[in-house]
Amino acid sequence: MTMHPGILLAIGLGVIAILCILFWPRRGLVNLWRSLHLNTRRTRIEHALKHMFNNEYIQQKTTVKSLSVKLSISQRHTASLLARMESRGLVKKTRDGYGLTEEGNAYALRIVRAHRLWERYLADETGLRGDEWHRYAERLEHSTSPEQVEALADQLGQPLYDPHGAPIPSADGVIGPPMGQPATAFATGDLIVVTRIDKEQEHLYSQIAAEGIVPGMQLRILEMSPQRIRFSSQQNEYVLAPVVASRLMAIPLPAEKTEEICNDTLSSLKIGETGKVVRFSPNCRGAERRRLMDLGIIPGTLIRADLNSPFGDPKAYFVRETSIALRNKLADLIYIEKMKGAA
Amino acid sequence: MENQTCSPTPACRSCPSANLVKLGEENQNFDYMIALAGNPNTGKSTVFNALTGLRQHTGNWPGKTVTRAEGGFSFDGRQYKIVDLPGTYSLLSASPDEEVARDFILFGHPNVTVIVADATRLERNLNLVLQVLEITDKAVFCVNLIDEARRHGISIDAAKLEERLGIPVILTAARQRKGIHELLQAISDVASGQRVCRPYRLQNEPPELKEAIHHLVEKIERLFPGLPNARWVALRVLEGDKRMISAIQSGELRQLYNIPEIAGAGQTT
Amino acid sequence: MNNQPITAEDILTDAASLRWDLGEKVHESLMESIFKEAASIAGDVVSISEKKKKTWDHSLDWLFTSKLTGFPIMFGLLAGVLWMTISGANVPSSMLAGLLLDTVHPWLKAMAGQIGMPWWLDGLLIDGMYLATAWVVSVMLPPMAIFFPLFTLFEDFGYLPRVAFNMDHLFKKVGAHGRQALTMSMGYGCNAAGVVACRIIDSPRERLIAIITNNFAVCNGRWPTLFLISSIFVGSAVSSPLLGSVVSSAAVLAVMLLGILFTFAVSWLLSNTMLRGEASIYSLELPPYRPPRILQTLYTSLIDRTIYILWRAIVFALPAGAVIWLLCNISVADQSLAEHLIRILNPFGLLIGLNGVILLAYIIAIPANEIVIPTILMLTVLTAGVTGIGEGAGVMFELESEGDTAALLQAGGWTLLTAVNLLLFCLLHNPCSTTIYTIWKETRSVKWTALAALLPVGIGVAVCFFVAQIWRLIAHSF
Repeated sequence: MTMHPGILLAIGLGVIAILCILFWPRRGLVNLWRSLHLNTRRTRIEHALKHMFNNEYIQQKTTVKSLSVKLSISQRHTASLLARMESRGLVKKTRDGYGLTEEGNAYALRIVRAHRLWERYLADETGLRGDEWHRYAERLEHSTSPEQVEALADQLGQPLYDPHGAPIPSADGVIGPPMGQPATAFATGDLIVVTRIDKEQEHLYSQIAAEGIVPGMQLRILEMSPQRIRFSSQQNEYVLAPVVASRLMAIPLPAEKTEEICNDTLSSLKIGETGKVVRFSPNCRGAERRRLMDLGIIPGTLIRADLNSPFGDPKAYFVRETSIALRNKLADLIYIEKMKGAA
Repeated sequence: MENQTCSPTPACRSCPSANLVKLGEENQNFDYMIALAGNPNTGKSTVFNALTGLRQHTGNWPGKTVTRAEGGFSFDGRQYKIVDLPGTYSLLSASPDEEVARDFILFGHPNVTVIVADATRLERNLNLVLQVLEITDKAVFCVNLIDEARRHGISIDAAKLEERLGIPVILTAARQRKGIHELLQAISDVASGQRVCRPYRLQNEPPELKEAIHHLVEKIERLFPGLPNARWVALRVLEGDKRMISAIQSGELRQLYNIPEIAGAGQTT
Repeated sequence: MNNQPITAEDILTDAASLRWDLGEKVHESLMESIFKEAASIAGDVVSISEKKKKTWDHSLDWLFTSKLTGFPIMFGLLAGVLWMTISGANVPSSMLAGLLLDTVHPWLKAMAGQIGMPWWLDGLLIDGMYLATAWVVSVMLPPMAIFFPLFTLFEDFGYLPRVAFNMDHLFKKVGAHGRQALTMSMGYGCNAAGVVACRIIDSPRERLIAIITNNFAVCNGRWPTLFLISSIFVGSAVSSPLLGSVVSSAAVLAVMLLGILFTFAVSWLLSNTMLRGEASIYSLELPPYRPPRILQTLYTSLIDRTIYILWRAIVFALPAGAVIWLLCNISVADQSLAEHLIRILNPFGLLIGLNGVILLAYIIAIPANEIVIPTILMLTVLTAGVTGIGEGAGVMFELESEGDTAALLQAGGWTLLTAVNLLLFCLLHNPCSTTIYTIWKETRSVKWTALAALLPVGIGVAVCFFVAQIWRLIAHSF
């Protein structure tokens, strides 16, 4: 070979660098180029419809301003977008803003159904993190045909709620009423169950999501002041500003469920100790939850920590005459009540 | 097919029963169809092999059989086709394996469903048995690995179990080919209708669920008089099972159980 | 009774509204009540007299999974199985080779001569198709017939889930499943069997990772190449013969360890990029120990794994044998196709520290790694213009003595760098066609199959390229 190996080496490294720049997940050029193409006129209309639908659902009005903030485009652009939607018969002017026509409402319901089903799917059947479901669903909802949406609903067993607790509209456009009231409406010392996290204002929503609060979680309100609201769950304490906490919808914990408040998780059992399963964390969902139930781990089951692996994770548990190894991460999601003595 | 039943094949000499002829995979015409259900790792494949003479690989693993296997055998002059369903812990969830097993037991309309269980873990296995009994009343319960249970000092009162479940219960050790003849006899009795099962049905659902089921069952029985498993149908509809919903809409359920068109015209037996 | 007619729609509307009333807890509360009833029935009919055997299971579990004894036993058993396979397969392999290659092959040639078969048909059928297949069978069959039954015995006994239990922590760190330890070990026997074994991984993401990375476990078709090359080039670079054999074994071991390293690295990469969104669930049942049934195990593992894999290999080897022979015997412009191809591939081969012969051998020997060395030798004779060795164009052969092989390869222009890179490339190249086909059958996806085939060869080319440049850079500066 005539070329100097040092030069070849440099060329080789250069090629690798270029490939990285092109294909790096999320921030690679290929990905950026792709997401640029997603922002078409149709997706904008569909996002606008969704925004208006959500506002009507919680009885708020939609204005050019609120929509322009939501879509992050100028008010002038928003006005022309609304004009276009009006000419297509999707929206109509009302006294103090804009409202959906019947046709617009039906269209919006379709998109909302697709969006929430996708979120449910992403939450239950994939390994994506909680903060990614919404982002992916925002993209997928536009490219899913009505047939695909129905197939998805069948596959998921016609779920009723999305993973944020919002009801999923049925195929013929029926949607359940909103459940719960803002967490700010409760008082110090109350026990509440989170029913829904409102996503309309994404920056507020993402704060709640980042804390790991999900529907189904049981919380105790420790402090309620104009500055902050403090909650505690089984293991953690959360502090939210009232404006954020107002996005958290909840109902009081039903009286018969108060005994379910307990502090121990399956992973805290020492070898030889026995516990009784009380409930699953709401963060254990979809296929994972199904698997546990298949294995006979359900509320009421007695379970004994049986065997440690050399690294201490996973651990084997003895459940209904069978030894089953679970990783600590999953065992953290199973709440138990420790039993005295060995069973 | 006829002469095959009589020829003394090499497989025949090792048969647990003189009138059992294993037909392997080449079995087109059959009198009865048998579905084989069971939890993973209960020796279901071993039972399948003992019945058909096929040699599927069996291992000490859960979930060895991935695809559905079919085979056949002949017993007492009758031809049987046997379908080995994927091993599942339950029939109630949306996983593809459970869907295959669940739909086959109902819509495949097997003459007998054999449920194989691990004798050392009877409690866990009964979960599936109770679910199968909700779907069909023609079932045989094969409690396998009984040899191993004995080694572990576990004994099972088959007569009492039979009484509780209302279906034939056979204790087998398929690896040693023990109990296979009795299993065949029970299958044949149930298939031919000589033995009528009175399967155990769930009783302790939470009240609100029970009420909902009751409400639906009443309507389903009026639409499909004589349907043997209206409770199961109601449960599946409540869980949003698309296959079941479309079976109600299209009247497929009616055809499955030969229910006459005229609704509300009284019970057919 | 109420005699008012009822329709399917009535039932479904009722059900839909009941669903909203009941909420999403139906499934769970139903499961709960079923398990309760099952427990009550079981309590009635099951009686447990003594628990002696349980403690026996328990002490075995302790032995196999404790910090102190778990890993030594595991590595001991794996080493034992590999050693028994390698050393135990030598004798039957050479017997088979003696029969199929040295006795049947000349006899077939003689027969063909007697019935007056044209030379090209005789060459295509006997020197091409028969020889390639016979080679694959004689190298592949004995180790597989030893390895798989041993493995299956452990499987039957119930030991393998304990291995998965021990290793899970390491695999979890790269986003994989503990059972991948088993599919990897299976891969040391045969990658196609390893890929099939990935069925035991019940979580979609982890299963794909295990399938795609299985190729980094050096299958027994590649061991002979590793042993031969490291002993004639790496081992002989050291002066004393004793030290030489130590160094050459170390080289083989290093390649295997490098394979494990790549398994983990690529698993990590995949689980964080392409497979990030795939679902991942983990649970592992530890079944009770069962006394293995030796004869039954031997039978089923022979039928299920060995014969099955062998059959697939034969199906792929037959056409490959024909292609190899044709390439060497069809001439265009005074040179055979093989020589043209080698000339085209040579610059690229030399660039990455290999040569055109090696690249062509790996391309046409894709059905089985077993025939790579015979093909390389045959092609070297063809291009290096050596006379007096081999049996003619398109006829694969192997040499009795390692010295002769070394001399032939050196005549073909091989250096220590070529040998080192061949060792690397032997680890890091596309899986054989049997494995690729198996991957497709298991995943039913062109995308994952293509990835599994191209990723290792891409890595291999890159690694060889960088090793070659650095090697030359160092050689330059001295």
